[in-house]
Amino acid sequence: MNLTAAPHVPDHVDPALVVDWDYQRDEKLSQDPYARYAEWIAAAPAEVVWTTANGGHWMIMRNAAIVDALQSPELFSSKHTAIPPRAGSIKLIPEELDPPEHTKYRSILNRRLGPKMMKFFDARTRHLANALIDAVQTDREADLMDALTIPMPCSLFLEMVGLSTDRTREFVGWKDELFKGGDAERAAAQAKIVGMLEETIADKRVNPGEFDLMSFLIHEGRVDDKPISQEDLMSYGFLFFIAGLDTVTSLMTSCFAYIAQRPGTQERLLAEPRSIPDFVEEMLRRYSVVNPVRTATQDFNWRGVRVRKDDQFVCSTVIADLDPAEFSDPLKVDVERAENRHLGFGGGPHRCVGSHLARTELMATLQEVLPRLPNLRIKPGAQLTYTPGSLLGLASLPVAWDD
Amino acid sequence: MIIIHVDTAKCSGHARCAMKGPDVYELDDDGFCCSDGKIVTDEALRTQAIHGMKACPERAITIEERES
Ligand code: HEM
Ligand code: SF4
Repeated sequence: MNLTAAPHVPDHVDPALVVDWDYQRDEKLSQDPYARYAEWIAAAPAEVVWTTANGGHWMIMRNAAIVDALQSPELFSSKHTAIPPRAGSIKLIPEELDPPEHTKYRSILNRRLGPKMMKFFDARTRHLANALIDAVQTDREADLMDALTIPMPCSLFLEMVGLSTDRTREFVGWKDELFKGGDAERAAAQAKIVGMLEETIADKRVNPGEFDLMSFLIHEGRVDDKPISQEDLMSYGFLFFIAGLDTVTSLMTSCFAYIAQRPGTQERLLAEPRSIPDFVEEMLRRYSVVNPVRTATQDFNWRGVRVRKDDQFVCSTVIADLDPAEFSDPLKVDVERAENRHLGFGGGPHRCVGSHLARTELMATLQEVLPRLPNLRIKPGAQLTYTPGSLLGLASLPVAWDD
Repeated sequence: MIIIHVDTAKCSGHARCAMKGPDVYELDDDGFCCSDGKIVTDEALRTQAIHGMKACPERAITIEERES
């Protein structure tokens, strides 16, 4: 029974649209967040609903409406990436900018992270994945997150900003403090990352690397015909840190968890390597990770609701990708889906700029690792649970394999 | 024959069209689709063209059928 007063619902919200779903803290999320989101989708009284959780915000419940919002930055701004808005954190470029400002900072990234640049990252991923597996292969068991899916994107991030992968473990520690620590730990971790980025930028100004993104941004990047400022370089670096680590870890862990839970899948993927890209796309759909946030730029009417300036929206890629109106039997993994226009990487101008890199990482890692861990399975008795929060992902993945 | 139309305002460079229809859809160096207006006469490529259209998360692609 709820003894507290009913949460305040703003006057412009139709009471028929009000729910109390909490996509950040609902207790069932740690068990199976996807099943929980699917329940919400099925129970939604309309395409757009208002939840009283997290201080009150809109939730968009249909794929087509989410695409519409993500494609309409003039109404749905990216200025805040959290609900409720978080004050005082570093401005994330280009994530928290709106067009036309966003376009200037974004377009220089597109080419460097475009599909035609992926040969380099593909080769590096294969090398790093094998080195990580070398360290555990003879143990015949591991938490695959510690052994592989956490260090892998961290190493690639280090290479991307032009640092040595020797620092991967130290780096993983900072990441945990930043995402999971209390306020003091967070601040300390942020300071360490900022220090590391400052050092790298100073170094790359004098010793540019050939492939890394930071050297490229320092020496070739132009915004309004001017070199990119120190402050903006820091923002870019910080965003790559935030955007490219836990997302890849989550998806990669889901891929291996799926395979380890279903006998025969590993053999099938190995026998038909050409099915791996479609497998990865279906994993990106079924185990979507990110809940992008938008904030209304003005008052407007939209898809049957009255919106007030500064109202916030979750444009969940999880909801979009489990919408039964778009994907038949959405909780089922079907690698041969005829139409898989998933929103795992978002949509509109902020479509994940690291999407090609992420795909490359996922595919190359699966191809290298699956043959080396025969009969991959979940360790007997282990229960898989999810880390709570707005970013979905497993908490650990205890597995065993044969020689 | 068919004509490919790409709404370039909607295309955001997912590159899904070229993954599903590699012989129909071409990407520019930034990874955006540059096959707007392309005419496909080879009937063998029809399936690829349709699969590419159906994979586009932005719904940026439409296919026009025309008598040749
Ligand atoms: C499977 C892994 C990944 C997933 C599921 C993912 C998902 C997403 C999503 C949904 C967005 C859109 C956010 C929004 O609209 O507000 C996004 C943006 C972004 N992602 Fe990723 N991402 C992944 C990997 C990466 C990697 C490896 C990088 C590193 C380069 C990266 C860098 C970025 C950046 C910089 C943005 C902001 C783009 C912009 O605002 O224009 N992501 N990502
Ligand atoms: S799939 Fe759609 S958004 Fe992506 S490149 Fe092709 S046309 Fe553009």
